[in-house]
Amino acid sequence: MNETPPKPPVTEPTASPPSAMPLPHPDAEGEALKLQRRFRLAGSGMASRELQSAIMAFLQQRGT
Amino acid sequence: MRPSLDQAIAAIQQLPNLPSTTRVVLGYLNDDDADINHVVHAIAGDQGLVARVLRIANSPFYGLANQVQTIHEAVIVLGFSNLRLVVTAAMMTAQKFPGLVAGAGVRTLFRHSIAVAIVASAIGRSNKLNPNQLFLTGILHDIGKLALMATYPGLYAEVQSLRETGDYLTADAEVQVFGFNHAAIGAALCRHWHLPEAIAQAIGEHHNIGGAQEMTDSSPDDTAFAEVVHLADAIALGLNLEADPCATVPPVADGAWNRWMGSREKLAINLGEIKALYLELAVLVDGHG
Repeated sequence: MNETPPKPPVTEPTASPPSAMPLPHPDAEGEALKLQRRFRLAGSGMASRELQSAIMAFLQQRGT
Repeated sequence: MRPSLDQAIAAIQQLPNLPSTTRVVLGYLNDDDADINHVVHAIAGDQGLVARVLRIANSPFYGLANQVQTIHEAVIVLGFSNLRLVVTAAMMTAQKFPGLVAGAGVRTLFRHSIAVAIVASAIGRSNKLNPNQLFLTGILHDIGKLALMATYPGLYAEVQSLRETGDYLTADAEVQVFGFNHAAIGAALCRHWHLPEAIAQAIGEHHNIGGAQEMTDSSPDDTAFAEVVHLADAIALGLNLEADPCATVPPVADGAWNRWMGSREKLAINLGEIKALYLELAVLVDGHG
């Protein structure tokens, strides 16, 4: 006899848990684009990248 | 016709000399232990500086109930740190640069110089380098641009146009138009003004950091100020406190970064504090012409 497999329990859709990374503030998003533009001629050296990251972190901190 | 570097330096040397009183005042202001009476006496020797210092001490920024009437009171109100900025601002006026047309470009340049001065002195403090001297070097690091703008306004307009295309760093646009950049001109002007050689050298080298010659032709001590100004310039352009739509960060030299900013501790220069101080000082010297 063929038994139908038990249906998986139906779960109510729930809101996704809050993300660990906060969404960027709209202003911070605009600032990030401007920052990228300012660094477009800075090359891909370690120091240029670290400086860009440090400023990005500062802008995000300020924007939240 | 574009000038050779030698011709440009010769032209720069025709610019007015720096009054000896300015050098004396700056000498005192670079000494944290200087006697205030010596500073007051030195300022009193330059009537233009007296008027400027009194005007700023009486500006709404300080919001004093009673008018400041003496240099002594003004020095107390401003403090040595702000006074250093007022004195250097006086070095960048039309009197020193006949032909310079004051406008947004000059204002942006001056604001950028303040940002570089603040960052350079902050890096200096965290590395036991003289922060006062670095502040002065930072303020003056682009003085060669002012000299070129004043002496060759038509050619410098071409530099600005190239810069506005977004494809050139300022120093590269200058090389494209003149065949050299503002750093050599700035160093020549500092020597013309008999400023300390360490400042002239740092200003002359701040765009020559990195590359094969790094740390081979010069000792770390010789290049320290130039490297710090190079970093401060990049940090200030990255933060763009002066809101220059054409601000573009040059490649940052890894060696200089590792030497002065490499550890987490040194990286922790507080950008928020830098911004707050910048806003305070920028207000202080707005309309400084």
